[in-house]
Amino acid sequence: MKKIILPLGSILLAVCLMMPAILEMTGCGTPQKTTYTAIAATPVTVETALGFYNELAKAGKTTVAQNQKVKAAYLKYQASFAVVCDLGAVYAATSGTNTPAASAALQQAVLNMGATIGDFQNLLTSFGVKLK
Amino acid sequence: MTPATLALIVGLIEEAIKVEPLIATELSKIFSKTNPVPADYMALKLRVLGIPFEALAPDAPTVALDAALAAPSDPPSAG
Repeated sequence: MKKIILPLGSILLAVCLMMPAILEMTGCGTPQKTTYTAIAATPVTVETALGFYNELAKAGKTTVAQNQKVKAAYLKYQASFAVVCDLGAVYAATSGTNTPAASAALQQAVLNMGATIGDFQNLLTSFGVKLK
Repeated sequence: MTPATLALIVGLIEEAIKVEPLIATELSKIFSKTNPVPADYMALKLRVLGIPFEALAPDAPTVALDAALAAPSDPPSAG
């Protein structure tokens, strides 16, 4: 049986991804930092997944039509990430003040980005990329 | 994010660190960041928008080779 070893970074990331919601409920800690951490780590996952897809392409196992669809999904993710960053900047600018509107807008944008990443993930797996 | 997406992200981070140790360094910087300022988000945005699909998947052409060959080339210069 394959031994599963989770690097510390992965565990921290998982915690950080859940922390903003937890902090919203408890009102403790630094949501600014945890939110930024979760957002900043996201591109690593998308870029890694795309690297896996490139391996398939290199092996000649993808078509131009599939590549076009993956590119379109990647562009959609980029656009949603840009929106998250714009709203993140607003959220960061209001640091230290009670800004439920900025927080809510950012959370909605993160949810939207999560949806685009989910679509991206589904597309890659449907084309043969084996993601965990 | 759904638990499935979360699990996927964790798995991908794990793979990314294995494939490219420099990613671990980059993640370390992210985790050690103190309270972010707007410029941090703008830098993040520029970084992501600055990486085209072709750079991450250079072996995945989005234009068929025969179509590219059939495309009109630049007209010859006069003289």
